Amino acid sequence: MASSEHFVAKVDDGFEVKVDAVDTTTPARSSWGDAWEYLRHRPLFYFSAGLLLLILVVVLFPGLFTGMDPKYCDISKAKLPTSGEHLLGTTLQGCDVYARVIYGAGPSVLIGVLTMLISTILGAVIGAIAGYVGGVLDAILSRVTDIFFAIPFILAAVVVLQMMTNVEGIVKIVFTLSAFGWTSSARMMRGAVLETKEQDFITASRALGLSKFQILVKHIVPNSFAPLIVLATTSLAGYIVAEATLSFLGLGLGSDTVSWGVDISNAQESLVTNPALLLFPSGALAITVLAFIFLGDVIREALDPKARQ
Amino acid sequence: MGRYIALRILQAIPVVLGTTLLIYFLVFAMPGDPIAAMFGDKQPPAGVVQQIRDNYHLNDPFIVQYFYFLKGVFTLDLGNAFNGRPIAELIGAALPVTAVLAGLAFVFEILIGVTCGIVAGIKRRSIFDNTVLIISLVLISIPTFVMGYVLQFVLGVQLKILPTTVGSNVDLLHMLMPALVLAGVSIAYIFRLTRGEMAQTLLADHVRTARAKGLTAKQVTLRHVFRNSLMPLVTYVGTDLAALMGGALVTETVFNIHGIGYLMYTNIHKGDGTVVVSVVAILVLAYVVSNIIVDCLYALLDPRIRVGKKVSSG
Repeated sequence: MASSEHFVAKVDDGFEVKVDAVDTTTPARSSWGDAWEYLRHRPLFYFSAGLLLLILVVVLFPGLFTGMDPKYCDISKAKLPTSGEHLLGTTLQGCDVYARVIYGAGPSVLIGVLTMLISTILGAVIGAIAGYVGGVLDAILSRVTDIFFAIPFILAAVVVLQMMTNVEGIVKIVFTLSAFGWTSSARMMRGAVLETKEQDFITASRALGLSKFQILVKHIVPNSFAPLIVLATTSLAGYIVAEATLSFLGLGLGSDTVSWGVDISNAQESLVTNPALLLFPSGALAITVLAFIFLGDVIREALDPKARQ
Repeated sequence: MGRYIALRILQAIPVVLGTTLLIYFLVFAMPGDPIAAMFGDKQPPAGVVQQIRDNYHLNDPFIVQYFYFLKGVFTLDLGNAFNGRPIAELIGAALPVTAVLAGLAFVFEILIGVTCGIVAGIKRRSIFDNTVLIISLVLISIPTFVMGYVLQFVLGVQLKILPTTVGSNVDLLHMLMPALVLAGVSIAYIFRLTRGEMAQTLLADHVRTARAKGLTAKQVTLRHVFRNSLMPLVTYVGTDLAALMGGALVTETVFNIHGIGYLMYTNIHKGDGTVVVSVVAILVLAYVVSNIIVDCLYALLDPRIRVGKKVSSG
């Protein structure tokens, strides 16, 4: 009789099969491939990347955007308003504001990028060693990181810059900011390495006979790098602001340099009579910083699916 | 809990020693002879110079000088600044001013940052959320001192609502604008952090369960979502308290406030290293203490966290 038979659904028909089904016809995507697939469809990514590309062109070829010399100042043309000849007017000394904004991009962006590269690499190396080797070395490196982290960033920079009065220019600032900027990336890298180290595929590669160093370079560092990229992008924005702040305190680039920070700090004096002088370099700086923050945000979402909304 | 706190305090000792040593080294590696700077253009007699160098232990090796300084910190006898006033007295006069400034900024951060963050996290993509999000990005991207000048110009000079500088008027009304400027960037970060955490926790299973049990929206938000979003917030706020003390350097310069940052800034320019080192030591102590408090708060908020015990990842 039919009733004596137990009803068993055929395995092929169950919904579990459909849920577990893996489309094997398309090639597998790596986590970086997945991130790129996400980025490709985000307008914010194109917006920030396009903006940064434009800023990069301004930094590399400022001559394309203005025919004026930012250092040529004619005192008889002081404090002019916006006109055809002077797009954004002139400063107290009669320099062209537009030319200064264009040429001022170079030092600000260069300081930001160099500091970001040096402090991220330094921090990543220290953090990776601390996390991977562990033990006494980890304890020592972590305490050293704590020590550098505990001194307020701007205070430390002020003290170091005051000390290095005989070194000039961008190198001094990049050195100072990197010397105290690496701690966050070291902490983040250490945490990421500690987490990656415990995963099964690391045990597997050890079983396959890879040396400790090979595992670190081939598997642990690439897999711990994602959070660092986001931190690097946002910290770059922070370094650009820090350079402006140091110039404001009179410790950044010399006042004969054309940079946003120097121009912003020079504009304080004529804030009441001519606020435009403060507005344009600060605006250019804010747009650049914003572009890096946007890029950092969208990359974070791309690399961390949990952050996607 | 007692053992946990004791361990954290023990761990903080090398940080305090290391930071003060580092700053001490940096400051006293500064070029220029401070004694010569005291006399300006005049050539001081050799005997007087010797006397002053002995008073400040300048003839001893660097590390001995450092230990004299440490002894001074613990006995609260920091010696005299180059202008003859005791350093402890200078700091004693400046510290309350900065404390009022930083305290007020801290209140702004919590009130504005957290409240806006909670509301925006719950009502994502609403007009409120988008508006505050844009304002927070503007706050992050503009340097603090520019924000200070703009507010001074708009609120102080043009609208005449708030006083522009502080000077010797250390009261809440005069401190209102500087505190807002000092808090600006942190408000933006706290807002973004709270908003993100709230939005993520709202999707968690236990929140759905709480709703299914029939709890009201308010109960779910405050007890189940907000409390679980607190941890990263506590971390940020803990390290930020010290950053506020440091950020005071810029804000105090813009608004002419005679606090810790101003004291340090003027003495860096004078080349008076003893004052600079003492001020930084105080700030580092403030940072370390606030970090210990944060760690104790962790243990209260999350009983899984204990020093030396690994949290099982399972």
